[in-house]
Parts: sequence; C-alpha cells; structure tokens
Amino acid sequence: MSTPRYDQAIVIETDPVVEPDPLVLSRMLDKLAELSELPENWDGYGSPGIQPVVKETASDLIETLHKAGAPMPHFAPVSGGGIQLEWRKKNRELELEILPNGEIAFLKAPEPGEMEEGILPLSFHADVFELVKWFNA
Amino acid sequence: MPIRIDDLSIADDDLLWRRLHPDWVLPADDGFRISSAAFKDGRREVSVDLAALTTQEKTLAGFPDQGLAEIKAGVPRSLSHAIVRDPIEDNPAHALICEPPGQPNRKRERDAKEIARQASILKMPQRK
Repeated sequence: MSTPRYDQAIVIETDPVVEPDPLVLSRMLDKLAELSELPENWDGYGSPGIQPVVKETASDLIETLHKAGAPMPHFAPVSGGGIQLEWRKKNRELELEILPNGEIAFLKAPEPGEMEEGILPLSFHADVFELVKWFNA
Repeated sequence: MPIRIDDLSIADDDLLWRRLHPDWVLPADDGFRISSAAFKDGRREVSVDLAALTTQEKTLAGFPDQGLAEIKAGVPRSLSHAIVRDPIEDNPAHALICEPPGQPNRKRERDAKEIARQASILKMPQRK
C-alpha cells in the first residue's frame, strides 16, 4: 500500500445517511448536563462523578453524532466515572462507552450473539460516522 | 488493582445482587432490560452483595430510587471473572466481580453485555 503524500488530499466520507436533527442534539446535550451533575457515590458503590475528560470527550462525541445523523441514544452513567451511549433497533445494537481516561470503546452487534468491539482512535470522528451509518442503514 | 483469587466458597448457584441506577434499565420489546452499563466499572471491579448474607431491604437501604438486579455467580465466573468476598463497614455481604487481570477494554464490553443479558430485575428503579 502506498503512503499518501502530504500534498495529496485525503477525503473522508462524512455524508450522513440521516439528516441531523437539532432536537436530538439538544436532548443529548441536556442528558450530558444531567449526568455531569451526578454527585460522588451516585451508585452507592463509591463511584466518583463523571470525570472532566469524559465530559469533554462526550461533548465532542455528541457533536459528531449529531453531524452523522445519529438517533437519540440511551445515556447511562458507568461506575468509575464514565458514560455509555447505546442504541438498539430490531436485532442491531451499538454501544459507545467513554472510559474514565477519555478513550471510547465501541461494541456493535449486527445479530444476537455476534459482536464486534474495540477502542476508537483518538481522532474518532470518521469511525463514529461509519458506526452511525452502519446503525442507520 | 490487586490480583484477585476466585473464592470457590461462593458457589456458582449463589445469587449476587447489584443495585440498579434508574438509567440502567431500558424499555425492551418484552418489557424491560438491563443495560450493560450496570455491570461495568472503570475500576474493573463491580460491587455486588451476596444475597445469602443480606436482604433486599438491607441492600436497598438508603437508595430508595434504585432497583435491584440478580445474577448467579456462575455467570461472570464462566467469563473468567473472579468472585471475591469484600465485606465493608455496615455491609458484610459486599463482594466484587473482578475482571481477569490484563483483560483488554474491548472484552469488558462483551462480558458486561452477557452478564446484563443473564441478570434479572428483582425491583425496578424509580425515576424522580
């Protein structure tokens, strides 16, 4: 495989399958704000609140999800200071978990029992577009 | 994180209880389901109570809005997680489900999903 030269344009496919919905963006930001208010020990098991780096990553992720045309996810806090976003339709499932260190883990399940998982790269935008495109298809 | 040795005095059929935050239960086609988020912890050890050593009332004391999930110890154990007793002040029933040492984050997602799938809801959490 040849390495692209710096003077070559690299085009990333970013056309959303579904048009971004401003209402979904607003609801996602509201939910993030709500979770950001969780106090220490919100789970009764000594969890810290949502970590600052998690909030920062979540804001960036939400903006990318909006641009990608993602439907409203279910938000859940994760013990230890993280946040999980998840979607399900018919048999298709997608989960994105922002870990306490700011990394994003993903799990996609195209069929019951089938799962693909991994950690998104630091520059996750193109991967998130692909995941949303897969889910919306 | 210390290396945890699976406590075999806890039988596979022994029941573990985990309190459920309201955001950990979602509507599903056949009622409700537990989010995998309920069985994750960034510290890689998930707190539970050994049901045999407590009561639902004691586990839920102080957390009136939270629900309660039940899972057999054999489920996380079948995924190579250790179950250890971890009594704490005011809660001698406290125990931990511990990820295998060195487990990559990605397997954590899959395991939590499987544990959540096999857990049942004993009490629904209440939304304020």
